[in-house]
Amino acid sequence: MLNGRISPQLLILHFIEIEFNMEKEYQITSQGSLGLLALGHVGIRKWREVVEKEKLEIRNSSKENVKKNKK
Amino acid sequence: MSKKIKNKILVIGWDAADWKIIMPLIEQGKMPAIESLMKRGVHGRLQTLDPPLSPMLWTSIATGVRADKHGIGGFVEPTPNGEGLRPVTTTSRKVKAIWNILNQEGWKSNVVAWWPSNPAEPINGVMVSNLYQVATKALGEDWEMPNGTVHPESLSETMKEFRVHPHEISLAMAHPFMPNIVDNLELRKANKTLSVLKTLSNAATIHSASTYLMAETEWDFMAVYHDAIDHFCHIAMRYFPPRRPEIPLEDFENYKDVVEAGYRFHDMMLDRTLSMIDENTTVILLSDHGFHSDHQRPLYIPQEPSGPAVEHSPYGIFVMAGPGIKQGEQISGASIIDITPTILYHAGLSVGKDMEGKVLYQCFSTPSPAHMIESWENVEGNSGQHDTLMREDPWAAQEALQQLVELGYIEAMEDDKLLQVEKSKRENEYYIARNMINGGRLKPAIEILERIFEESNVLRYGQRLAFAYLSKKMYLKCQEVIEKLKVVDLEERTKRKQETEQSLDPFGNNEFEEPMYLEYLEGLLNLAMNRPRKALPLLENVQKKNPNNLQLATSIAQIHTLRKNFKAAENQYITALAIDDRSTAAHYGLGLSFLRQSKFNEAVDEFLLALEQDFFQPNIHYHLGEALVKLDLFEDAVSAFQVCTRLTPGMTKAHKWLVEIYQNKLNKPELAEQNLAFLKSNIKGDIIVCTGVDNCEYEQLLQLLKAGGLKIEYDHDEFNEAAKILFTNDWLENNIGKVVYIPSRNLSDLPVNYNYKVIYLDQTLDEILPVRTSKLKKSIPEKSIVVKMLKTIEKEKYIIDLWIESQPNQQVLILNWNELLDSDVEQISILSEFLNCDFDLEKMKKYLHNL
Repeated sequence: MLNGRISPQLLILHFIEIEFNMEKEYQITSQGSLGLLALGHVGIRKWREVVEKEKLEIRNSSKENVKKNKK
Repeated sequence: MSKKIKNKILVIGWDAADWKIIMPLIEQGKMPAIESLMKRGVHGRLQTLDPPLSPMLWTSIATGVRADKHGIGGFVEPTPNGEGLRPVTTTSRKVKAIWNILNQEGWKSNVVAWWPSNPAEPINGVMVSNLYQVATKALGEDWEMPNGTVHPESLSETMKEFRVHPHEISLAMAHPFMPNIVDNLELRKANKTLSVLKTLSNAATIHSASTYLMAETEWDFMAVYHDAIDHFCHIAMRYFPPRRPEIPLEDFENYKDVVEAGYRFHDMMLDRTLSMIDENTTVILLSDHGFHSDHQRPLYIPQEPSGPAVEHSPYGIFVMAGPGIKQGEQISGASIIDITPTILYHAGLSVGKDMEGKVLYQCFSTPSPAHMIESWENVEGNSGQHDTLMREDPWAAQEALQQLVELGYIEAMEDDKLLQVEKSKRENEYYIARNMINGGRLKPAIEILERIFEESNVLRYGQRLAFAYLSKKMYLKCQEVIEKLKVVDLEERTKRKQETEQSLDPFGNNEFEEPMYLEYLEGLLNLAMNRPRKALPLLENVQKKNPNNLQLATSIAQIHTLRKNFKAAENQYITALAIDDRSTAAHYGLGLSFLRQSKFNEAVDEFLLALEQDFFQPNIHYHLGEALVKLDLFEDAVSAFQVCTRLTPGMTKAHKWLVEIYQNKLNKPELAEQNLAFLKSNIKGDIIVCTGVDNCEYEQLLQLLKAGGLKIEYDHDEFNEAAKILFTNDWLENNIGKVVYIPSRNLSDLPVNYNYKVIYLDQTLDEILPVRTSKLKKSIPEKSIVVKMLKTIEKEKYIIDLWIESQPNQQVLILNWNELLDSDVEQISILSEFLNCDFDLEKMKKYLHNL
C-alpha cells in the first residue's frame, strides 16, 4: 500500500461520478482513487504515470539536496 | 469460414451478486449503472444449481449443461503426475463452451478470467485465464504469469502491464471499504484487511484487462468474469449491517462497509464498460448464485471442503439489454443453464438438443422458435479448443497412474498424498452426484452416493443418499441409511469427544451437527410416507433449534396442509416468508392455505406473488384459476387455466375447469367442446367413488350397489389399497367402470386422469358416533373421548366438503343412509339416474329390507 497522508478532498472523491474527460475534470494524484481503477487500463496507465513522475521528482529533489549539502 | 456478425454480445459475470443487496443500493442512487441497464432491458432472478460451487456453475453457464456432462466438479483436480492437487483446469472440460461454438461460426471472442480458463484456449480472439490476476510475488519483484495465462502468447507482455498488485492499493482506494484504515495502523496489517485489498486489486486487474481488450481488439463476443463480490462477501458479509450480537463491535466498525463498497465499485466498473459499447451491443449481466445477507446468514461455516458455500443463496441476478430485448420488464423462471441456449438463439445459431437449459424467450420482443440441432459436439470445425491430447479426465488419469503404481512400473506416492487425492476424488464425485440430483437424475446419483458412503462413511455422503432415496420414494432404503447414519454419527461424536484438540481434518463432517439432521431426515421420511402425526413433532423439534430454516418451515406447513389444518399451515408459511420473502413455495403454500380457508382475495395475491418469482409453475396457475372462479372472475380464471394447460398440456383438471366455465359461466359451448374433446382422448375411464367419514355404512352401500347389478369386486385388500393411493394408483386401472371406496382423507390423492362419479354417504353424527364408541368396548365412554370423536368426525366431513368444492365439473351425489332406508324406491331411483344405469330394483329393495 502506498503510504502518506491523504487530503480530506480525496476522501470525499472516492465515489464521485466518474468524469471521463480526465484532463479537464479529474486531478490525478499518486494516491489514485477507485474512480481511476474503474476507468480500467486507461486509468491505471495515467495513475502509474503520475506515481512514476512523483517518484522521479522525489528522487531528483533528494539528489539536489545531497548536492546542496555537499556544497 | 467467416460470417457477418450482426451485433456484438457482452457477458459480464459477477460471482454471488444478489438483488437483496443491489435493490436497496439502487433505491439510494448508489448503483446507477445497473439501474440504467435494467431500464433498457429485462431483469430477474437466476436460479442456481446444486451444489452452488463456482467452477461448476460458471462452466454450466458457458456450456448449458450440468457437471456430469461438462466434467468440472469441484475446485481442484489431480496434478498430471497424480501426486498432488491443483486448481481445476480448462482441459478437464468435456464439452464445447459458448466461445468454442461461436469460434466455429466465425465469431471473434475475448474471454477474461472465466472459471476455469487456464490454460487459455486457442480461440480466434483473446483468452486471459483465471490465473492472470493472482499476485505471486511481492510488489517490485518480477511477477511472472503462469504458463498458458494469455492466448495469443504474443499479448502476454502487454497484458502484464494491466495487473494491479495488492500492495499498490492506496489508502484513498481502500478508504471506502474500511474508513478506519486511515487512522488505524493495526487494521492495515490485519489478514482480513489484506484479503480485502487483494480482492480489490484482482477486480481492478480483470477490469483493466477487459477494457483494454474491448478498446484495442476486434471482437464479436466477450465474456468477463469477476469473482470479487463473492470474495468481499465471504470476507465481510458477517459484518454487514445490521450487526448480529455475536459480532464484536470493533470488527463490525472496521469491516461493515466492505460489501457495499464492493458492489458500488462493481457498478463503477460497469458504468465504464457500458460507456465503451454501442447501443447495438447486447449486454448480459449475471451471477451464478446469491449470497445470504440478512437473518439467513449462517452462524458458523462448516469445517469441510467447500464449507463456505453454505453462505450462498439459491438465486443470482440476471439483466439482459440490447437490440430485440424487451425494455424495463421483469422476467422469471431463468436458470444459469439457460444462458448458453439463450445466447445461441440471440446470435441466430442453433441450440443443441443435448443442452439442458432452455431459451429465455421471455426476454425477446418478438420471439420465434429456436432452430435445434442434435448436438454442437458433433459439428466439425475449428472450435478453438485445446488439442484432444491435452483434454483428459484428470481423475481417470490419476486412476491410470495408480494402476501403474500397482503394477510396479512407477514408484508409489506417499500414503498421505494418495489419501488426499482419494478424498478429493470422492468429494468431486459427491458434487457431481448432488448436481445430478438437482437435475432429477436420481438413479446414477444414488449409485455414486452408495459407493462413496460405503467407502468412506462420510456423514454428508450418507445424508445426501438418504435425501436421494427419499426423492426416489425408496423409503425402506432411506430408513436403512438413517439407521446407519445413527451409528456412524455416534462413533464420530465419541471419537471427537476423545480428541482433545479440535479436528483439523478439512474433510470433517460438521455440516449438520447442529441442525439435528437425523431428526430432520426422519421427519421428512415420515412426511413423505404420509405419516404427518409422526413427522410433525420431529420437525417442530428441529425447528426450535433452526428457526431460520426455510425448508423446515415449508415442510411443517405441508404437514398442516396434509392434516387440513390450514390456519396452522398459514402461520408456518408466514414464518417461511419472514425467512425469505422471495420463496415461491412459501407464497404458493400460503395462497393455498388462504384458498382452503375461503380467503380468496388473499389467495390470489399470494399466487400472483409466487408467479412473480417463478412464472413456469402450472400448479400455481391452476390454484390461481380456482381462486378466481370463487371470486366470479371467470375471464381471468380462464386465462390462468389456459396458461396452466400450455405449461402442462396433460393437466386434465385444468381442462375440466375450462369446460365448466365455458359451458356454465361464459356460454361458449364451442370452446367447452374443444376441451371436452381433449378430455375424452386423455381420460382413461370412469370410476365410481364411494366416500364418507370413517365407520360410515359404506360396506352396506357397496353391497346394495352390487345387488343392483354393478360390478364390485368386494375385497378388503383392495380397500386397503385405497388407503395407500398416495404411493400407488395402478390398481385403479382394474376398476374402470366399477365402484371403489376411498377414505375421505385420501380423496385429494385421486389421480386426475379418470372421471369420477362420487357418492358421498352422508351420515349424521348421531348415526356414526354409536359405531365408533362400540369399538371402544366400553358401554359408556368417557365424556372427553366422545367430544374428541365428534371433533374428528366433523373434521372428516369438512375434508370431504373441501374436496368436493375444489373439484371442477365433478359429479357428486350426496346420499343420506337413513333416508335411503326410509324411502328406498325414491333414493334408489336417484342413484340410478346419477349413475345412469338400470338397477335391479327388486334385489336392492330386498337387500335393504334384510338389513
